[in-house]
Amino acid sequence: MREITIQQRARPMTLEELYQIGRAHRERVATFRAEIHVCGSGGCRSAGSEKLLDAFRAACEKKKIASDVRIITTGCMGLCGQGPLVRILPRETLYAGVTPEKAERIVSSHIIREKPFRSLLLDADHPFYASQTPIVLRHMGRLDPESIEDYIAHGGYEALAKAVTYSAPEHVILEIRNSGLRGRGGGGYPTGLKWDIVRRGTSKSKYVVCNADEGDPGAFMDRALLEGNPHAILEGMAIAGYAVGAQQGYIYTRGEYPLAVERMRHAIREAERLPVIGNRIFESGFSFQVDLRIGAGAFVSGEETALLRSIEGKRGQPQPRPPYPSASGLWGEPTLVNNTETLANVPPIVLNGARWFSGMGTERSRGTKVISLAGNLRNTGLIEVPMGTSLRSIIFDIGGGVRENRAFKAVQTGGPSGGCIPSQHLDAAVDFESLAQVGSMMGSGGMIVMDDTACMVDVAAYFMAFCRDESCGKCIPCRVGTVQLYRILDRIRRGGATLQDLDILEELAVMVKDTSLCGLGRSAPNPVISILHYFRREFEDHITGRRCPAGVCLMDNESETAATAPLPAGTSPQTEGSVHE
Amino acid sequence: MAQIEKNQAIEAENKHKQLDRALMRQQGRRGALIEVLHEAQHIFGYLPRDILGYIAASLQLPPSHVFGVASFYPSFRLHPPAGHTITVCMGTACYVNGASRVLRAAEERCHPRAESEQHDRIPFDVHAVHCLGSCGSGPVMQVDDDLYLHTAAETVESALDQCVETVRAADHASDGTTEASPSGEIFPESDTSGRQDARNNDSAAGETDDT
Repeated sequence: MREITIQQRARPMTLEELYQIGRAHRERVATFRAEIHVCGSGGCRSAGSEKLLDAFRAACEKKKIASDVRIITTGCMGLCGQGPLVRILPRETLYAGVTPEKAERIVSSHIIREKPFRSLLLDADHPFYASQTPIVLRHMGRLDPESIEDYIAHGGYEALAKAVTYSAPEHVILEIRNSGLRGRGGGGYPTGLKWDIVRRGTSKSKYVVCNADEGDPGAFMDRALLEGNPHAILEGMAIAGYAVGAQQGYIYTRGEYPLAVERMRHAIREAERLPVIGNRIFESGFSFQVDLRIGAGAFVSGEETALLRSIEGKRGQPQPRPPYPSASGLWGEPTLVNNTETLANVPPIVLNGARWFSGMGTERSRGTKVISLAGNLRNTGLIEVPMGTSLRSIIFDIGGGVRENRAFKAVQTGGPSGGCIPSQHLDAAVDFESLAQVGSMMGSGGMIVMDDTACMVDVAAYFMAFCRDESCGKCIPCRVGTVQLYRILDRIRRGGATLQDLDILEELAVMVKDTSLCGLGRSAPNPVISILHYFRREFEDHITGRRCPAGVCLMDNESETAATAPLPAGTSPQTEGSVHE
Repeated sequence: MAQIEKNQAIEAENKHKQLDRALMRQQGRRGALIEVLHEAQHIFGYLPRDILGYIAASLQLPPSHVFGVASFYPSFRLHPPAGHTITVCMGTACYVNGASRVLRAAEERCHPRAESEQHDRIPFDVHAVHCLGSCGSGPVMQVDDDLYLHTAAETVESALDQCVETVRAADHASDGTTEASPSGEIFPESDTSGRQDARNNDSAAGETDDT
């Protein structure tokens, strides 16, 4: 039924028509006297940006300039911690912490009297933005994610049109290989190489899968991309499909991201309507369709083999590799699985060339990395920096340092698969190799800063509880090992452990790491291993001194409350929350 | 009384029709089961066992496969929900900013242990999830579909009061058309302790035998 409707649709678009749409949209936008961009990403939206939209409309109405002002909702503007954010053009200015009451005063000051409204003004050279290099985020917060015309006006779908019109698939792959782009989900596998393997598969039906199942706690890069610039992901997927010879793409994302799902669904509909995806894209022989699949709360489904099972409508449990998905993936066919950010990097590389891209970053890690910066920091939000930027510059320049003038203790990177890095390694560079050298990993880009109020034993137990809950139970080392590791950590936290427990902890951690089936189990002990390496004193304080230096953990005799996981599975009165203060 | 029963029968029939439409839409699409389960949960509020059987027959899948998938994913509910849900984010960023205190405050409010406080009890399910993806603004709490940012243990009380007001007002407005009663007549063997899905129950059980 689906196929028929697509065949009935209008003829494919041409490159000239694409340019026309872009031109017409730009001309229309240029007729406005001013533009108000209200951040509509998850964070700002829940801080009240939807009400803000109405308030700005009403304010313009009142000043009788409603028809002269273009008011749009955009994707993430970056500084989520100070939302809602509003950008006003001309004389581009960013306002932070805007409330509906202030809307009218901002309009009359900035637009009517042409003077910035000082009290909410965000400095033009605010350190948060000063040292960023937006490639993937270049359009974020600047275009309307629900308007395909706006994306096209910003150069959207030009890369796809040019690729299918002027380049052979082999050339597209060569360009990606030469750019040095590596998988942004954490694996760091060379993207071009993966594309080449899928390209060589002889099967007629191949698939492209966008892994947007962002499960790491503390990471929100994919969410921001799906919400803020969904067409960039679609375009990247279509180019990938052309290069590897696939006709069907799937985007797999989390059910916990309702706005992202909604925006992506809308984007697919718009792209099919135009059509920039569908049959004979830009009058070439290449046809491509995209479907959205929504996960149902299982972290392990982010592992690529598990994710493919989930798209097939099965239990999302991992399978041993090889065979890799590039040889035998969805329904046994060659399947390209790429992370959201990886795919979003593809259109700019195709447009600007491999040399441009490989000019950024380090020798082995080219380009930029999108990072979600969170925790006890002054400036939290979404950033993009060249690979090789030091942790220190990210945390203290962009992040503005630790909040409330407390001391920096550790930065957690790579989520539950990564580790905690202490202050002596703050000069480590953010790229695939350097963070691994100091016992952590870059992962998908989540970065959480902890100040001296954090207890590292508690943090270790937190991550182990996470992995224990999310273990799918298929292989024994992970299913049993994570439970045992958690029990030891919890015993230490409650002051009931012996020094021998530390040895068992270390031994077991290595065993689970070496013998588990998939990435979840193999990386689950990482936080414990790195925390034990850098913060062994804190463990010993808990065991021999029966005290928590940070004052987070309650020792057993101090409280009669039974300690349970920091994330209790049950919420009945019997299962109390954690014992932390 | 007869009128109420009649209304309920009509409502049940409408829900079945909605499910049939969803099944129709997915027909012929490979791997549609999870999409269908999402839709069914949206329609019924949870996944009753007879509905799972019906879906299995419609998609020509073994019932064991359908139940296996439904019980694997934490988002699928096999038992009727309490009505309203408070979700406390326990992602790393929220956790280091004190989310466990928020969780405890919410639990104490919704499930007070002292008899004297029972009348103050709020009819909410309290859940902890791993990440709601608003890490820049933690701790984050979600009541039904509304997200609350920068919650602290101190402000959670007033936030909860506010939620209760809005939710009760909304319930009042739509009186008589509320969800099936939590006793769950479609699923008679359900007991209240089994609210969470099978996976969570397993890990909870694993916990208790330790202590």
